[in-house]
Amino acid sequence: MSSFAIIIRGAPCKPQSALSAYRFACAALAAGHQIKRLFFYEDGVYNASASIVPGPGELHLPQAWQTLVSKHRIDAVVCVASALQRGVLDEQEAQRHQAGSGNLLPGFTISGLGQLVDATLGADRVLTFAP
Amino acid sequence: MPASSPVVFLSSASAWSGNAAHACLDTAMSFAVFDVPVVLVLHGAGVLQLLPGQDGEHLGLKTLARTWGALSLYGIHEVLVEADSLQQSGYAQEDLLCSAAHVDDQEDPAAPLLLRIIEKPELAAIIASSKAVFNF
Repeated sequence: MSSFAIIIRGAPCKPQSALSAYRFACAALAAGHQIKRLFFYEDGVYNASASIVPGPGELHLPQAWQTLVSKHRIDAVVCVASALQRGVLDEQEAQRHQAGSGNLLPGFTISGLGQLVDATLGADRVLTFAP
Repeated sequence: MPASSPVVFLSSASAWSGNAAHACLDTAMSFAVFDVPVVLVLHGAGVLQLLPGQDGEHLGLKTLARTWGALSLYGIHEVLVEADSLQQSGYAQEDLLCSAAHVDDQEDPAAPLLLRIIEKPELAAIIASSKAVFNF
């Protein structure tokens, strides 16, 4: 059994990268592996947005991530700098920046690159899914 | 794998093709802050990041050279440039910023940022011995 740190750098609307990350995470868990942390970076932060509305017939990837995170109690971290630049905000950040209301899905946490460092050092393997 | 295995950052984007070059340096500095050994490698169009005279002010963008100048303050004292990429770019080592003194006046004079040209076999060995590789 291995532990994985998974870095998601692609938006849910971009072909493959985020979806591949999701499918890999599902497969790893099904095979008995552990996910130390999901780290959503750059455009990957859109995977944690409640404002995403997929096209007809498309997988609602943010909701799928949310379900996976909740079911397996996975630490799902959204990079704060990437999130602020892209308008993915929790209530605290939305108030701090006077940017309306938060749109971060429950189960995700906004934090810094230190969480990426910690995940990289603590996991057996690090996988990046980039567009 | 030794506990001191480095984390390798491969940067293949120019300073102006999206945010990748900035994200690479930001991420590398974050690891360096936690005393993680960092190896920074420029290849492909990434070597263009070290051409002098680039300024993002008129584009409303951050100037990457300032970040290069700050790397030594984070304990990153060397940048590796892949030899074939440099040759294909049409530039030579002397065309590039090879010390923080050329990048930013705020450099630490005791620990200038040095440039080293490496061949692909050495890069492969560095990657093989690394804890993780991040590709930007």
